Amino acid sequence: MLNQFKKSLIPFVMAGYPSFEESLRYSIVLIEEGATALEVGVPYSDPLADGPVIQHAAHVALSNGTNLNTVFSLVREIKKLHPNFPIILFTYLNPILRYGLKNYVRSAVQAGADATLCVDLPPEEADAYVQFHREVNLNTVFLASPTTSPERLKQIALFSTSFLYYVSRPGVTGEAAQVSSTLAHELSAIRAEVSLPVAVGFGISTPEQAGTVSKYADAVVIGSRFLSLMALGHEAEPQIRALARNSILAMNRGDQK
Amino acid sequence: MNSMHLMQKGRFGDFGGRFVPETLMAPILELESMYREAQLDDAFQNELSQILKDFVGRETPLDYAARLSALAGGNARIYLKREDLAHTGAHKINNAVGQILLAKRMGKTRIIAETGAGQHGVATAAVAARFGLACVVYMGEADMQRQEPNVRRMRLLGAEVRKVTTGSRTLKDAVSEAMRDWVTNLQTTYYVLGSALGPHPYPLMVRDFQSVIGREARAQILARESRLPDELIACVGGGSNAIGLFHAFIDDRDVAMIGVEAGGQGFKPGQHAARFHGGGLGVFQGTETFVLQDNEGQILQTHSISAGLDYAAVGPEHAHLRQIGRAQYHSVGDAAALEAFQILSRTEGILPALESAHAIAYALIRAREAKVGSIFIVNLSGRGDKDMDIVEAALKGASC
Repeated sequence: MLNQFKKSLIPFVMAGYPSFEESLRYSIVLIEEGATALEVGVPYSDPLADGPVIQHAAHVALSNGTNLNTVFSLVREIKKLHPNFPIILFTYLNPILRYGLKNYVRSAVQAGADATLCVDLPPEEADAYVQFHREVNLNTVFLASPTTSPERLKQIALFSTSFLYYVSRPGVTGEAAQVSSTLAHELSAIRAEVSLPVAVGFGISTPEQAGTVSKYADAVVIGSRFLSLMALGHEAEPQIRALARNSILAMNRGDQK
Repeated sequence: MNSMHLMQKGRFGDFGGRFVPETLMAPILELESMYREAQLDDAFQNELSQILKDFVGRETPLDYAARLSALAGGNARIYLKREDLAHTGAHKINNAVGQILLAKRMGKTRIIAETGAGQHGVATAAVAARFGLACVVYMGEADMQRQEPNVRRMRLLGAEVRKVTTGSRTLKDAVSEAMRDWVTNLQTTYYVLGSALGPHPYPLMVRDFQSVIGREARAQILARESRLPDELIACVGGGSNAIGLFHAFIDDRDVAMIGVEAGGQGFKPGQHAARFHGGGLGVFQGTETFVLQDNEGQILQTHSISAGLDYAAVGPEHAHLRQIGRAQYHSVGDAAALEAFQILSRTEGILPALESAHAIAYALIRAREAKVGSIFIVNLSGRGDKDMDIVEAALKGASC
């Protein structure tokens, strides 16, 4: 999985948003446009790390009856069409605990997921979670942020496989006017400590921002902007395609600089 | 046994911990370390004591409720710990003072808080004003409507009240919004969490700041009755007033500790906030505890006539005390709380907060079963002025 993340776009889709069928269709659209991996969101009623767009998407998905089994179905459907395409589950802890941690890991692997990220599970509380993932060779992705100390970073890197997810700024998910001016410095410090590829997310929403971030990062995650476009209905599909395509182009241009 | 000794990885036995997005881990670790330092700093403790005395008005009285005791059958002598007489009208001020002193020590210039019934918001706004700090209070839209007098009080105290329109538009959504604000404004902002909830160290810290209630009550009852009480009774939303009363008595095994949750309108999901009755183990808003949730782990809507008890999770130390058999938890519904509100008003001349009315209602039930000569301490966690519109509307509805 390591090389797959070089200068990559990782779009975020919310399973069941705006509907199950549309989350599947948009996932395929994003793969067709050149995404390298997909983050598939598990809707949760009280998502602490998310801004209004993802909160809203989660509530719509839940009101559609989306649950973890639906999420696994979505992963299976994507994998039927694109068997080798990497999928990362983006979750909160409580739905996993209710499902059963071991069951969750087993079902995720059976569905074809390649990695999981649990937003509100810090490494201090993650021993069993990591152990169960290791038993079935399912990757674990943990978050690092501008507030992470060097000591914590070591633990986060130790628990992360495939890549490290760096939160671009203190704050929640959502669109931001500009990329943090300290990102280059922060990422160079991380690279000095961590050999894993680094994906950067939270607050990135335009091709220009993706291009800027990709100068320092291996992958860029775009979430809220895609969901906002999905909310506009089918006529927004060209915009979704354009955002994915132009972001990848910008990242590649950034690569050449 | 002291529950402090059981703390490992920020847990009370199996409950607690810290489950937050990575960005919040650094401020939470910093907060824990600063709190530990402050606990050992005489200057901090002296300033805290002075403000509790001069600004808050401590100690609050332990008031023998003779007519209430008689009405309840006379077996039990019921004492009320009068937190309603603390400045701003509820126990919440004890914690607000402690945390804002800590915020000052940490060099923060902006205070945020969440509030359900508004009492924590009013207390935080008052203390922030006292120290000249900017203050933003998050409050669910539904709570703003039913606790409108407190919204006005907060604004008069100089706080900005931000309406939360997501989810159930109540306390849990206000907590989430406050955490989102905190994570976005870490450099300048201190989050004064209002109950013994959330990620460690909040449940411990809030418990410590509220334990002044139990320390005073213990000394007061010994002075008055020359013995400890048989039962402590307190309402439990997040559980800060209850843990504040209980803490000084935890080692006194003969003192029963009873928490009273909101039974709302019945035990169907969404109609109550009795986490120990209808909830299960889960992780919510940073802590592992009993949570009202559905089969998918999604947090359920709650209901209580009192906004302060209308919350989907209970403080982790209460879950621990229940698990080890040290405390019991029961529930009282809206109707019984409303009745207790009227009974206390007419027998003792005290309008209790609807939250506290739940504890009064349960004390009336317990007193009838108690052996003659029993002593109860009921924590009167707040005053009921804020609830007059709700009570009047409910009584009007009941009489139609």
